[in-house]
Amino acid sequence: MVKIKLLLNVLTVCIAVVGYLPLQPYLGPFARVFLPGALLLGLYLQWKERPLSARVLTPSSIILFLFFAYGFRMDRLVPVTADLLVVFLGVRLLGERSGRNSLQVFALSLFCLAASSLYSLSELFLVYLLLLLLLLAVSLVVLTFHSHDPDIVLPRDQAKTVLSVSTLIPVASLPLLLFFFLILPRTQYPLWNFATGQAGKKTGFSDVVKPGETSTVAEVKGVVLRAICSKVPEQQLYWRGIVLNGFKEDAWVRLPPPREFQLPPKGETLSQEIYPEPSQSIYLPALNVASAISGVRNEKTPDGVFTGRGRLDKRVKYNAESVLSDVVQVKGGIDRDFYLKLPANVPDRMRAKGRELNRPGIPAAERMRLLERFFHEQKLSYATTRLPVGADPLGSFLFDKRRGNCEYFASCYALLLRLAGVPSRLVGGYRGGTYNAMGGYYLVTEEMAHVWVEAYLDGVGWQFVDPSAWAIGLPRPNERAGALRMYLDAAGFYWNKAVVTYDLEMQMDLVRSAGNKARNIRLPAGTARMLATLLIALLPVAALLAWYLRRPGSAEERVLKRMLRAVEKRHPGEARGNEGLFELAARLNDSEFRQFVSLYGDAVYRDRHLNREELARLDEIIRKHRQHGS
Amino acid sequence: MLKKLAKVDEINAVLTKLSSQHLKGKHRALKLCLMALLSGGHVLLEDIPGLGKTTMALAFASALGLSFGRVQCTSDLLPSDITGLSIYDRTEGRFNFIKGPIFNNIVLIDEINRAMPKTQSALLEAMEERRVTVEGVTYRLPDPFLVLATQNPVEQVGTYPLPESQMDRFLIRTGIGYPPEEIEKEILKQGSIRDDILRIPALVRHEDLVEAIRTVAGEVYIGDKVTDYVYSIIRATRNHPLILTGLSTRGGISLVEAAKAAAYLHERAFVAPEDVRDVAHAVCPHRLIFRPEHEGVDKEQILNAILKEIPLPVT
Repeated sequence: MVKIKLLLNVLTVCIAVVGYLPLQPYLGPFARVFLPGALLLGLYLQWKERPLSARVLTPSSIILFLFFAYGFRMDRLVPVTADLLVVFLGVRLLGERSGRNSLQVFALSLFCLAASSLYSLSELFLVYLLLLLLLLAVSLVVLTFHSHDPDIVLPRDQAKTVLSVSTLIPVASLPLLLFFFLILPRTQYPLWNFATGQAGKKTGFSDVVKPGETSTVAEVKGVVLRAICSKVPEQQLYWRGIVLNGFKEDAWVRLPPPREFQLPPKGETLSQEIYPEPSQSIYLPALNVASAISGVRNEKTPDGVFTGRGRLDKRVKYNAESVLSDVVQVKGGIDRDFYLKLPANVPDRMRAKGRELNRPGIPAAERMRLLERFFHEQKLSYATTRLPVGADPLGSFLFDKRRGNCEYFASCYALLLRLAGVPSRLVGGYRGGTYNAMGGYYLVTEEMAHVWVEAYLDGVGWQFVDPSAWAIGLPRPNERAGALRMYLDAAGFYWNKAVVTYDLEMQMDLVRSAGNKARNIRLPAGTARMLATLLIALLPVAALLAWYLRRPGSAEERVLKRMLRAVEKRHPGEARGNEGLFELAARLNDSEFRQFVSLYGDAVYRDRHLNREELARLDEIIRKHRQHGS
Repeated sequence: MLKKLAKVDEINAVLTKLSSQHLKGKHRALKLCLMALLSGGHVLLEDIPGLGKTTMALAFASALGLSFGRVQCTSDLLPSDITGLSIYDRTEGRFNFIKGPIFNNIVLIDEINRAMPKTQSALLEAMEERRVTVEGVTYRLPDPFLVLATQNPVEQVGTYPLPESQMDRFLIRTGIGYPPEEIEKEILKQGSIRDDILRIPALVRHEDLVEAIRTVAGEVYIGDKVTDYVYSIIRATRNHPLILTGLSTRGGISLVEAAKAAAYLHERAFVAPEDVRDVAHAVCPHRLIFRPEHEGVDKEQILNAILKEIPLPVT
């Protein structure tokens, strides 16, 4: 026995929760607490069967409305509305469960879910939406019972039928959903967050490198970008974002780079399809070294940095062409003076070390080797905590504490190179990436931000060096992510790819690439032959089976089938199941059929086969029957 | 064209004439009686009094030109009241056998369940054997021979209901049922037609009737497919969960014989499955013995359900 009242109660609570949850992170503190409280209190009141009357609820609604309206400003339109929606929802839950109240709860929940889409376009929205649709459909059906008689009680199996049938309603509407998805306009960024600029967090590498500011680098695990490309050797996974080439006081910053002409690196081109997370950054990272980027309007600076024309504050994608190379050749040399400038303060210990190397007679490559040996000898270790701070953080890193992160390694090395007379610059970006085999893409997160060095050698060009690699105990990038996390990430990725940044062209692309992938499947050698043999072996079996299943009946069977078909044509829908032939013929009062039956029955019910002459006569009767019929 | 069955037109003409002129609304019962006559069986009419059982039997006998005898059963009816007895003839100085009512072609046994078992038993024996032995002398009963026994299903006091085993002796058990409204009104206007019926001329010659009976027995063919169908009905009644005892072999034989008669009346020299199915309603139900806990259920409904399950063989 199922009480409809109880069922409706449970459904209403579920709907309110589904409406509240997606909006919850964006609510004000009062509204955030008010709804769960109201929910519990409402349940208690329902249980005691003493719901608050409208005489209490309506004035309190008005008071709450005034309270929130007081805090209303034009730029707080959405937060105030969201809070109000949730508070009203809570108030409704306190009242009695009449049809009207339930419908209001349903509508408010739907509005709450809609409001949440102003803040975020995560794939969870779809989950909540489908859940809410399902619950609403069931609840509306249950509500019709409830409005008929609130105390109605259904037997268990009947309730089951009602529930299962009403669940089918939203399922049936799914194709419609798909259709609307195709035609309705959409936004690629959450409207409210975009307008206020809250979501645009500053991510990834910084455009200022100044070690010694803090003693601890906080680990943030936000996603920076996802890049669809083939798998790349771990030691070559460097995502180039920015080049820092000068100083502002003691900090490495980016100055307008001097004119130089980089030759395109030689080697195999690797294409990537990159989906950066929305951010305030203008730099477009790609695998080191990128030669071209397309898909967004961008500009390439002489030092191989790509900048977008605008901020990447909505979901976009771009394609990059890279060659995994350690060297970038430059035609016609570089502005040596620019790349040899020093900061305002250079620690004495470092200046001495630089002078030691900067002697005529030692070629630049040798100086780099010596410096590398020096780094090794210092036994520096990689760390992100208890970093050297103070007046001379670099000197402290090199000679005293001997621990630091990539910023220490890179800026020390680049500075020492400049002191030693080798032009150098810092390159900021990301190192590593978690390969999601399911989606075929690299996932690059915030904590993979990295800085390395490029040194200029005459006749070679800009040479890639990662001094952090010389550290003792360099943490191996976390190659394996949890399988579940990978699946979830892939789901979110595809949601963004197929739904949020959907356009028809891209959809076609997806289909095409799927087709290509299917075409490129390589089967192990011999598979084709084995399959063919198997098929040939199965063919007779299948043929035999087919013949057995639809083997031609006896002559009697066939002629009867034809007659019955003709009869069905003349008397459509009149033949009932399990009726004798004579009986049918008499009932239909069909003279040709009667003739047929008497001739046919005389053979079949007398245990003999129809002879040729009889068959001919039966055929004649059928022919006549058809003529008369038409 | 197919070979015509002997005398089938004449027999069907009797049926048509009787049911359209004299016995309106009793077509089904008449047809079943005729089938029983043609296949040498007997009929148990089970219905309330006053629906024209006697009238029908009389008209049937007159129209076929057959002799008619009637026995009204009472609890003190003796077997010799039916079979007849020897009476001493003083002038000739010997016993003469005076034939009882059973020595007629058509015998109406009214309210058979009022007779005591001894009398019932004698009667049933005569039906089965088609002869009567009185004081050591065996007398053959006339041919054709048909017993129409009636039984009142409502009365209970002072009756000896026929046991199931003896019900089996009747080929067909049927009711007559109230006539349709129009016909009943017409009957009300006309009043009883008992006198008219006695004046119905014979519509068929005796030789023709005998030949028809011989044709049904000898020339109507039952094929394998229909035999299979009959057997599947028998098996279904034996395996049915509500039924204690299904159709016996005698029941099966009766079903086939009745079906043959039905096929004959449909002018066919072979039995079609629908003949079997149509007569099954009259032939089978009274032979089924239900489990004690299910005695109340309607036997015909169960049989209908069984028949609906078994497909008619058409190829």
